[in-house]
Amino acid sequence: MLYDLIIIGGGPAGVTAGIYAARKKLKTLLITKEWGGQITKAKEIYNWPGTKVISGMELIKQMTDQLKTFGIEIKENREVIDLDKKGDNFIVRDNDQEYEAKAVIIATGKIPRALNIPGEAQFRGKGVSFCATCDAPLFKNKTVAVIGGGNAGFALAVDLVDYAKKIYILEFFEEMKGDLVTKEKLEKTGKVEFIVNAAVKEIKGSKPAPYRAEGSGSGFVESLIYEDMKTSKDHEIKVDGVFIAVGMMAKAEFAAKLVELNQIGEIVIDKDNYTKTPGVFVAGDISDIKYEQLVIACGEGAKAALAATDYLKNKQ
Amino acid sequence: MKTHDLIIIGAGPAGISAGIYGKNFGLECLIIGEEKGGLINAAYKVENYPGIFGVSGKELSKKFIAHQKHLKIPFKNGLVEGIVRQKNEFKILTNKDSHQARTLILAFGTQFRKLTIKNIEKFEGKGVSYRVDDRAFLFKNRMVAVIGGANAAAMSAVMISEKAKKVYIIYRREKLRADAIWINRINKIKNIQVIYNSNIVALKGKDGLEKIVLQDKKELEVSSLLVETGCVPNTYLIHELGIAVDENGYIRTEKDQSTNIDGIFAAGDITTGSNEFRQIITACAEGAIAALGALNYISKKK
Repeated sequence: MLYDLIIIGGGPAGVTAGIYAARKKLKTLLITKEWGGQITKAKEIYNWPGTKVISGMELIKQMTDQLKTFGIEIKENREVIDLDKKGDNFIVRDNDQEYEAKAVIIATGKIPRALNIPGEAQFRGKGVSFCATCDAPLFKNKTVAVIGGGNAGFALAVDLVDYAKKIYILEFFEEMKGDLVTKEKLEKTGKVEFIVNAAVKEIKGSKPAPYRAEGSGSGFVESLIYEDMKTSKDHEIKVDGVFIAVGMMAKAEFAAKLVELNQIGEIVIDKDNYTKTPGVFVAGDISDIKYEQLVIACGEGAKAALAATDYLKNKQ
Repeated sequence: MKTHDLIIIGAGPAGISAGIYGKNFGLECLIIGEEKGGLINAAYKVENYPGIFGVSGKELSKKFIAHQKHLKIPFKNGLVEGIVRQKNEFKILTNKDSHQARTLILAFGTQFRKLTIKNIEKFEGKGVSYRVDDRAFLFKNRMVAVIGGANAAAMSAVMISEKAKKVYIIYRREKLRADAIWINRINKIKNIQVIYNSNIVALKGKDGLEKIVLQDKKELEVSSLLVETGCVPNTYLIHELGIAVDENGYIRTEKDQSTNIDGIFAAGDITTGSNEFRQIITACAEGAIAALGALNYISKKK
């Protein structure tokens, strides 16, 4: 099967590209690991033009419902691991099979940056989380740490304040980076303690009970160790959960054969969403566009799909 | 006089989106415009605006306006007649009052292109129209011609066909330019006939429109002609400001929607941005980018 277009990614940029491609009647396949990406973490979105307030989950559901009415082919729960050329066409490979298309749009977005410290991967889903909207209710009357004192970390803390009894916010630099207004709001709750100059070194937890089935007896987060960089002393604080907000990360190595990546791993595009390989287009936060905003990602998705349409037309 | 952080001229999707983002970034902004919603008011159906699906242009426009009101983004109805550059700010003169701002976003869009047919003015309002909005009932049982071949023409023809006796689409090329989805719909509708490779050369009628004459001299009896031949930029303000435009009059913008004049940004259909695709969603995106541009400009100056 040869597709006109394969769209990789099911966030706002990818879904918008899908809507546009479908309306142009391109034979389109959209491959995605999940729907929505980053916006699923947004509890309340106030800046989707035309909608006063909506959760990220609802908005992406409306977009995907819209996409599905146009009947394009969709593969969910697939992660693309390779993109290569085959003659004039492209081969997209996921963890299951490979597909061929005349053009490709990459819209895989960004993922939360990991700390890469001991315990982080081991306790993921067992106290370590990147999403307060998803997991905050699990920490009712518990003590949690938020790693990252920027606006993203503050937003996590705001979500957590309703549940947790105590929240530590740890910032690597000398002062908190997030908005003062939010900081004051958090201070007023009396639940939040701010720790600066903190380099988080390890997340510790209970050992999995021996001889038990996977999952049932696995350990849970119990504490966190950080170094106070002023004094070079290590401190351990008891926490039941660790929420990580140290920025977002581009991961586009799967496409590295055909596109140029900048220093932070984003795909370099021109203003019309073209990459260095004709036929490979990019939309949204995975590209090197300056501003990362929901509506901008959608605009980029529309542009990329229309550029791909023109590309296919000119190829004929 | 109070100096706003940002004045947005134009209240279509680009302008309202710029207002929403400007407001969210803490800019003190004002939108000045003539028609809230702009050209989307004239769209029969909007199916490609992500997340708001299956609405008429009017309905989508209402949602944008409701959002603007909900966020309490100030709006002034008025026609901007002049922009004067002063030291560190701009003075805006409308047909009613004047305002001042540190930055501007020009988002006044485009207007419908007029046909250059002799005596067409005589029939305007007497059979010749440039937009239907959602008033298909005006064409009930009529013989109608739609001139144009892009999405707007296709959409209007489909809408009108529900009421009209017959709809001719007259297009100068051999294939309609509209999205495949619209062409498929048109092919299925019995009372639409597409006339390709043609143009209208004259209009006839005593009082109102009675006949149109095609370039091969063939005459069609129609009492309504809808002109859907695309849009041209509104240029009335641009020249005196010295803003750089392309050969068709669209404002040249950079990646951050800035223009050649410091402090003036532009967004939406009026610009050369977004690969000139001129979609509602790209207009909104440009509005957001322009608001960020204005924010950065103001923070740098402080």
